[in-house]
Amino acid sequence: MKKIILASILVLATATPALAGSGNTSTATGTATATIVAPIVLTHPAAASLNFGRFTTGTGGTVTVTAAGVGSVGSDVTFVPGSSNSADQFTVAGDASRSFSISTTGGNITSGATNLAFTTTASAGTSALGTTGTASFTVGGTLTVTGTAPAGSYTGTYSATVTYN
Amino acid sequence: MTLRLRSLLTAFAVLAAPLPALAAPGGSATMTGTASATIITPISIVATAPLRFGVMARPTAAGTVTVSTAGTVTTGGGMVGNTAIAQGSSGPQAGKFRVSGEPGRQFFVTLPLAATVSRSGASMTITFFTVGALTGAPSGSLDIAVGGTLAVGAAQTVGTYTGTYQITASYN
Repeated sequence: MKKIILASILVLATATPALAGSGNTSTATGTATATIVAPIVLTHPAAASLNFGRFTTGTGGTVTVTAAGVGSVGSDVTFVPGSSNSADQFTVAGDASRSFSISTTGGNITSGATNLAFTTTASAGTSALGTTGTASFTVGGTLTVTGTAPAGSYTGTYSATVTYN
Repeated sequence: MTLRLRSLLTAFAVLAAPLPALAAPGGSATMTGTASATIITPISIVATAPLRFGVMARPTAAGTVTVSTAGTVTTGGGMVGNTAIAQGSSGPQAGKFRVSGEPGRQFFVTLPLAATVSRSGASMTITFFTVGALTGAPSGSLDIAVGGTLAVGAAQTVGTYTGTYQITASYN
């Protein structure tokens, strides 16, 4: 009886150092990290548009609207009284203070079978979201007007893309 | 269980060994035996750099981000393109460990099946751990790199996730 008790104690005493102190194996704890940031989201207010205004074509020319919304004409195009221009507007939401790039395409405005091509210019090529994670930018453009374009209301679309830097 | 069994055997051996010596019959004889032992440096593994998956935009669909043992990032599913953003000072890198021990002795590394990184109220799982040896470690040590694959959910909460994983190095 006494022997058994001694043996049991020995087992317990030797088992503990064996688990804790073996030189044949060693374990280390590494750290892993990852950071998820809010995705960038571009929104176009329904009321906003790039408005080249109302004009006569004459023999043709251009209408330019700056990203600040100021219109001007080139060659034989003339704004009619009461015409107004506007730059387009976009809002951006995402990760606070993160930088992003803006790119815009050109497009066509159409009335019936007539297309008029335009190019666009954003107010900035690169911008940064504010501390609240929001930003906005505007888009101007230049419309090429042919002298043969019939009178009418022309509409069209173009694309704007924002990308995290 | 194995360790416990081995210890049991040792304990009985200690008790049994003196008996034949005491019981040896008729006169005595002495012989000289030899004994030898080689003590080698115990193996040790120490974490030297964290495994970083970097900064990534929250995906609209679930996806994966894999960091190789070389620190290269590849993406899958909804994470394609989402890591191509400014990384600041916490860009992706492989985890690094230094294994030290007896020069020339082989060892093997045991990787976890999975680990978790978490932040308040959200977590992500790392699986498919990989390991590779790096060059340039001094004699008697070897630097190893650890990669893995992070699973990012479609509506993964924005934030910085941290976690730990265990790597074990053992002599062959």
